[in-house]
Amino acid sequence: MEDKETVGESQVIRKDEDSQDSRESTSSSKPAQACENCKIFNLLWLDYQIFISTIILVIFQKSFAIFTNMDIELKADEIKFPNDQGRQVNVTNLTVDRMEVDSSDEEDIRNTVGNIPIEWYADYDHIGYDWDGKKIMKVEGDDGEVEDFLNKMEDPYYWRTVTDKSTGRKIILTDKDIDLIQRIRRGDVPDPNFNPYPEHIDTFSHEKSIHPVIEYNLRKAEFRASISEKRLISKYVSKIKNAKRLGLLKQHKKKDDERFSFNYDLWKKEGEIDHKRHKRHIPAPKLLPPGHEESYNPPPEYLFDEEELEKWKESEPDERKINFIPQKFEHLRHVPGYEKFVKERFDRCQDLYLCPRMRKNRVQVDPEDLIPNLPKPKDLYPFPCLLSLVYNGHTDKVRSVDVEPEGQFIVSGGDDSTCRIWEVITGRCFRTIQLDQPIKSVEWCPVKSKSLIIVASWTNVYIINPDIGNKSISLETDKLLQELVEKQKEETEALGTKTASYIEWIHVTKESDEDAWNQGIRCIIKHKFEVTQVTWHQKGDYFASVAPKGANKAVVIHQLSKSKSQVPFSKSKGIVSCVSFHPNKPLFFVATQKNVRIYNLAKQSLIKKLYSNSNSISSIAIHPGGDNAIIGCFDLRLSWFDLDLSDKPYKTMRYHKKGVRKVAYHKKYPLFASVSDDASTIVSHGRVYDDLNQNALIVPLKVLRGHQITDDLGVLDCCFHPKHPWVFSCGADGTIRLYTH
Amino acid sequence: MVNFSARFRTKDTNISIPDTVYSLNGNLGPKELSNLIKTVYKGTSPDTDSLSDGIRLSFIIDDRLLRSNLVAHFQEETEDGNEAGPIDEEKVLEIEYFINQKAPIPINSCSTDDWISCIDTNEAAIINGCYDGTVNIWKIGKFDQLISIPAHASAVKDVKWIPRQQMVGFDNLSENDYFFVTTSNDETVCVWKINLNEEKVDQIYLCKGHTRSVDCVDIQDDIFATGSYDALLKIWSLYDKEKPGDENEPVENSTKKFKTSDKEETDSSCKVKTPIMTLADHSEAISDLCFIRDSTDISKQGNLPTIIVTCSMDNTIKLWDVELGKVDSTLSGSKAFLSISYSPMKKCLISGSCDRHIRLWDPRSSEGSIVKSVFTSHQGWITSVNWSPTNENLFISGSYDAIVKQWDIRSNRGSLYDLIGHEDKVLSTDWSNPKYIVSGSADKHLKIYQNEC
Repeated sequence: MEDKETVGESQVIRKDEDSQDSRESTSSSKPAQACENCKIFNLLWLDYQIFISTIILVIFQKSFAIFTNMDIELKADEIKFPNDQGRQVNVTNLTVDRMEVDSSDEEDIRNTVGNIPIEWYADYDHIGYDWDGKKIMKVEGDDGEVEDFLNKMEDPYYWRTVTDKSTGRKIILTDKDIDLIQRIRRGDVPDPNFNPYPEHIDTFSHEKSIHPVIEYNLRKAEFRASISEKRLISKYVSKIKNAKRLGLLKQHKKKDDERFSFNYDLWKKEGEIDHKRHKRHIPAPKLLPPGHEESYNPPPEYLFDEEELEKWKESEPDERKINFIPQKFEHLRHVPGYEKFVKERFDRCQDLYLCPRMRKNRVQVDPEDLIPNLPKPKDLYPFPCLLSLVYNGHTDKVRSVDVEPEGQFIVSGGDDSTCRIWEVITGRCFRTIQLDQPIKSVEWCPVKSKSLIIVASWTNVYIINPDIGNKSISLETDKLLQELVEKQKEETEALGTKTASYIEWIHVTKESDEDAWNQGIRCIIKHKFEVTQVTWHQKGDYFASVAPKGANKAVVIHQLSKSKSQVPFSKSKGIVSCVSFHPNKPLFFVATQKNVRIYNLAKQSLIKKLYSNSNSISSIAIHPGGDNAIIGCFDLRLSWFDLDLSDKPYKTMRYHKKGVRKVAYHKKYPLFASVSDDASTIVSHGRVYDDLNQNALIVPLKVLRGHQITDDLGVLDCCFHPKHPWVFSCGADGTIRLYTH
Repeated sequence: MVNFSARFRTKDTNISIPDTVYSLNGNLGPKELSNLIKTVYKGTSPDTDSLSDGIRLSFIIDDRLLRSNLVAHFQEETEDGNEAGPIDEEKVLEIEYFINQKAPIPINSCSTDDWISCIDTNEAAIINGCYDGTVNIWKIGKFDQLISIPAHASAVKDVKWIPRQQMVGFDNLSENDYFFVTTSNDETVCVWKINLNEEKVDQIYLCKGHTRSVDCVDIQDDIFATGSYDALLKIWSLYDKEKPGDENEPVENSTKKFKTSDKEETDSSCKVKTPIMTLADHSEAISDLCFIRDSTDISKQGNLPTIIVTCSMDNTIKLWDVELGKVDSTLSGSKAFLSISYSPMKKCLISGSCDRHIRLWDPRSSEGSIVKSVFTSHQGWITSVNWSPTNENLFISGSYDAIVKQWDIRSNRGSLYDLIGHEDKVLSTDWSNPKYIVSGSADKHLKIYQNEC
C-alpha cells in the first residue's frame, strides 16, 4: 500500500505493507489534513538530551537557511530502514519546519498561537490555529497506552519515532537524522561531509613556481616593455652617441686621471720600513671601565665619609686613588656636566702621544724545558741509599760523629758526656771515654800517622789518643806528646812564671792523672767560653776551635807540635758559627751567621767573602778539590759556592723541611750530604769538573730517613766513610746510623 | 693445564722405583710427587720401610730444585734466564729425587760474656771468640763451657781449629790435644794448644806482623794465612821446621794454667813468630780468606799449587798462588765483601757482602758471568757464609737480620730453612762439623743446631 502525503511543497512518501502501518498512516493523515498549512512540529522525545541535540541538529543542519528561508530541506535520496521483515521506508523530500521551542524571532509561525505552553490546549482537540485561522487538530491515538505498547512491540520504527508536540504528529527519523544525532552525541562535527583532516596543500612551498601566487590576473602591461623607459634609453643612447661623435667622452676621461692620479701601485711599498711600523703597531692602553664609585648611585661603601673626604682633599692630586669624589644622585638626569672632562681627555691624548710605548716580549717557554737535564739518580750509583747499621749506646743526643781516616772506626760524642769509638762493620762500641761535660764536637785527626781525636766538651778541648787501630802509630803519637810535655816544661822553666792567657794547655801525663791517661786523654785545652766546634787542618798539626761567645777570640787556632794557641782575629766580625781549613791551600774559612770570610793564613789577609743571603749559617764544608764549598743554613737553605766563579751561591737548594744542621763532602766519591732537623739526611751528587768552563753538576739523590725527632732536633751531624760511599749520621734520638749503597 | 711426561730416577738404591714414564699434571708440587713415589714404592717393594710416611722427598729437574708446582717451576726458570724446561709434552722429563734434607734441630743455646765474633768446630769441641778478648771452648755433647781463656787484649776476630791430620807436626801430642789459632783486634795471631780432658791451655806461638786488627785466618798443611785490616795477607808456618830443636822448649815453657796467664807473661814465654810471606795487593781490609783445598788427600795436595782466596772491603775477591806469591786472578764485585767460603766438592765460592745478597762464584770460569747465581732473602748484611762439609749443594749464611739460613744452591728462590733464635746481628756461623751448625751473635749467645744428613 502506498500512501502519499503532501506537506506544503514537499511530499512524504511511505511504503507500507502492514495494515498497522496503514492504520497509523491513516491516523496520522487526519491531523495532517486538518492542519495542512500549519507546518510546525512539536517535537517530543523521551530523553531531554536527545531533544536538545535534535534542536542543535536542526540548527547545525542549515543554520543559514533558517534565517533566509524558513524551510529546512533535508535532501535524502532514499532512507532505508532495515528490519526483520525486509520492509523499506523511502523518505524523500522531507521538509521540517521551524519549531516552537526556538526563540521567538526564529519561531515557526505556522501555528499562530504563539509561545505558550502546549498544555493549555490539552483539553481541546486542536492545538492551535494556522495562518488562515483554521484549527490545527490534534493527532489521534497518541494517548492510548495499549496502542503505544502495541506499537512498541510491533512497529519496528518505534525506537526512531518522535512525536512533534506542537502538531502531535509522529515523525520517523531518517538514517541521516540518526547519524546526525549520534555524531553530536559523540562530539563530532555534525556535518557528515565535513572533513576535519583535509589534505594540506603547501601553497607557499620551497619549490620555485613559475606563476605568482596571486589571486588576480596580471595586467597585459606587465608583460610588455615600458614605452616611457624605452624613450629614456633611446635618449641616453643618442646622447652617448653624440658625445662619442664629438669626442667629448675621451676628454673627460683624461681630466679624471689628472685630478685623482690613482695610476700608481698603492701597495708597492708594502713590506718596507713604513709598513713595518704598522706591523708593530702597539694599541694604546685601554682605560679602565668605570667602576661602582663612578656610578651616579654608588653603593654606600663607595661614598666618602668625612674622614675620607678630608684625606682626599688633603692629598695631592697625583696621590689620590680616584680623582673625583663619588656622589649620589637621585636620578641620572640630575648628574651635572663633568667639568674636568675636556682636561682629562686632553691629558689622556697627551699621555698617549708623549709616552713611548714598548712592546713587551712574552717568551713562550715550555716549563719542561726549564728543568735542567739532570742524569737519573740510578745512573749516578753508587751512593748511600739503605740503612744498614744502627749504633746504639749513647744515652742522650749524639752531637757529632767522625770517621777514622782508615775507615775502620768512627768516633761520636754527645750530650751524655761520652765519647764513643765504634767499629764500623759490626757496630761494636770499642771504647767509651767518659768526660765531665756534654760533647759538642769530635774530630779524628786526618793524618793516618797520628792516632788522635779532638773533642770539644763545654769549655774544654780534649786531645785524646783512642789507642785503637794501629798500635805502633798509637805508641808513636804518645811518644810525640810526651816530647811536647817535656818541651813545655823546659819553656816554662825558661820563662819562669806562667803567663795567664786566654787559652790554657794542660798536658796529661801518666803520672799526673792516671785515670785520664788510661782513658786516652793526653791534653786538655781550656777555653773561657763554650766551644762548639773543633776542626783539624789536613796536615794534622793545626786545629781550630770555635767558641761563638768569645767575640774576637771566638776562633782560636792551636798548634799541636808547639802546644800553642793563637787568636788570629783582632776584631769580631759577627758571631762565628763554624770554621774550616782549606784542604790543600793555606786558607781558612770563617762562617759568621751571615757570610763566609776566607782568609789567607800565610799572608794573614782576607781574600774573599761569600754571601749566602742567609742570616743563620750552620755549617760549611769544603770540597776536597778546594774550589767549591757548601754552606748549610738554619733557614732550610743549602748553598753551593763555586769559589772561582762568584761570591754568590752557584746553586741554592731548599730540599730540607727544617734547618740544615751539617753538610759534608765525600773525599773520594762525588757526593755530599746534608742533615736537618726534619730527621732526614739528603745525599746529593756533586760532581766537579776539571774543565773550568763546566759548572758543577748537582743532583739530589736520596732522602735517608730513620732518625726520630727528639726535642725538635733531628739529625745533628753526618760524615762520609773515607773509602766507601757510605754515610754516617747521628741524631738527637741517641743513635748513629750507617747508610750504605 | 699442561701435562708432563716424566721419568723418575734416584741415586739412592734403597728408594728406587721402576723406570717407567709417568704422565704428570702441571699443578703437581713436591708434596704430590713424593706421595706418588711413595705409593709406587710401596707397590713395588712392600717389605722394606725405607720410605715411611714421615719422610719427605725433594725433586730436581735439570739441576734445579723443585719448590713449587711444575708449571710455576718452569716459569720461574725462564724468568731466571735458565734454559727453559720442555713445555712440549713429547719430551720426557728426567726428575731426580732424593730424601729431603732434614731441618736442623736447635739443641743448645750457650751464653757468653760478650759479642761472639767467630766460631769454629771440630769433632770434639766448639770454640768461639768474643769481643772482650776471650776464647770459649764448648765440648760437643753436653755443650757446657769447658774453658774460657782471656786470649787477647782486644776483641778476638777469628778462631780456627787446626785439623787433626795437620797436628802431626807438633810434638808431645796426646789424644785429647787440640790446637787452634786465634786472631785479634790487637794485631796479633796466637796459636794455642788445649788438652780437652785436662782443660789445660798453652799458648804456643805469638805471631806479630800485622799493623791492624787481624780479621781472618785459615790453615792448610803446615802453613796458615791471616788477613788483616791493613790490607795485607800474611802467610805463617805452623811449625818451625828450621829450628826443630828450639820448638820443644817454648812449648813446654809456655805450659801453664790459663787462669794465671797474663798478657806480658805469654809474650815473654811463648815463641814470637814472624810471617814467612807477606802478600799485598788489596787496597783495603781483607775481611775473610780461605784455602782452596781441591783435594782432601794430602799426598795429592802436594802436587797442586796452594791457592788462597781472600775477599776484601775493596770489593774484590783475589785468588793467590802462595808459591809464586802473586795474585792469580781477581773477581770484582760491587760491594765490600765480608765473608767467603769455598767448596772443594762443588769447586765454587760463595760470598757474603755489605748487602743482602749471597753470590755464588765460579773462580774457574774466565768468560761470561762469574757470578753464577744470587741468593737473596736476607734483610741485612751477610756476615758469614759456610759450605756444608759433606753435601756439595748446601750452605749456610748468617746475617745482620739475626737469621741463619740454610740454602740449597739449586734453588735461589729462597732458603731451605731459616734458623731463627738470635736477637741481634749474627756475626759468625760455622758448619765445619757436619753434624752441627753453630751460630754466634751480638746477643751474646751461641746457638747450636744439630744437622741430620
